[in-house]
Amino acid sequence: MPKIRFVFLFILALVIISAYYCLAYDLPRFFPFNKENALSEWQEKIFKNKVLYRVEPKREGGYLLAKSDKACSGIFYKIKFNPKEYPLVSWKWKVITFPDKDRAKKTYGGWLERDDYAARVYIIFPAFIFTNTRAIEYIWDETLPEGTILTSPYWHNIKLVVIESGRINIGQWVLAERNIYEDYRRAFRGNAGGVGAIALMTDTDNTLSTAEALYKEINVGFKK
Amino acid sequence: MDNIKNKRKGWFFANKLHRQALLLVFLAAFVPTIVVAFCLYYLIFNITASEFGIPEIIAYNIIPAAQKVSTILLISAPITIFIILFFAYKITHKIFGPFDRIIREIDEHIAGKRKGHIILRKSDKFWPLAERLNKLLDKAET
Repeated sequence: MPKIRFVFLFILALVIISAYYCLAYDLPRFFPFNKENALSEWQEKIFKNKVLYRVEPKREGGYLLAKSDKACSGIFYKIKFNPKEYPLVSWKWKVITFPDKDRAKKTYGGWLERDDYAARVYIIFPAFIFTNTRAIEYIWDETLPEGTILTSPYWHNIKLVVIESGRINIGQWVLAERNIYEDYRRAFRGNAGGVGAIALMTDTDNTLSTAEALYKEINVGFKK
Repeated sequence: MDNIKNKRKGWFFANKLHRQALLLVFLAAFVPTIVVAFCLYYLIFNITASEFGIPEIIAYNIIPAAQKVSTILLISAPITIFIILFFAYKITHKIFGPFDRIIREIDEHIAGKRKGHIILRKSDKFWPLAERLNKLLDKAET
């Protein structure tokens, strides 16, 4: 009997170790968008109509083009890591066209009617019960001041962090680097759990306008 | 001696058997409800949420549905369990309630402390048994 118990424990340990290594991701994960098939590992998630996401591998060292026309869809990449251990995420983004929020202002549209951004980068923190899922969205907005933290009109578990504001840098590549563990603490006043996914989105479904942005050199899960 | 009334005790549970039977019914009603609720929440909503991925899509599509389902469950599940338990109590009381009384009366007959019939209500589930035992007692007395 002790032998059988030992064999059982050994097999169990092997299963646990192999499962751990199967689920482990190589960090940091770098997305240069310099190959035609760079989006093959990403999933498209459609909310309202499809945004055009296209990789341009040969231009400016490779980038991802996002073009939205009254649409809202994102691209989503599953990646698991501990943000306390690997808190940094960086990327470069360029806004070509901002969504037209004047129409919403003219029609006295509410916050939801203005909830469109030229560029968003999501860090998603899933939970065992989906209602506890939380997300930080880093946004580049035309008007909101840099450093603003907002709660999404859709869900209190989504916090929008304005990290780039205005039209000064429009048409230029801007590097963003964030400590997601610290941002989570500031936004949710608590410690972050594991990251489960990242996503990118350019949307104009609420303002019924158009927007265009480019993303490149996304580097996820590193420390200095 | 025939006039002795064999009344039920005024307790909620007639005896240990009754309590056990009711517990069994309660678990049989409660456990599947919990399992169904868990399956609804985890297997359906959680997996759908993870497939939707983008939090706004989850918030827009799944949370309203989950709220409706949980409201329906919160109202209907306690009512259903209460109805099941109410009828289970009535039925199990009729089954297990007279059990102790039959044993007690037979013991009294054996000890010679009592004569006459075992008294049960016609609605009691053990009434056919008591009727036959009474016939047996009548035969033994003659």
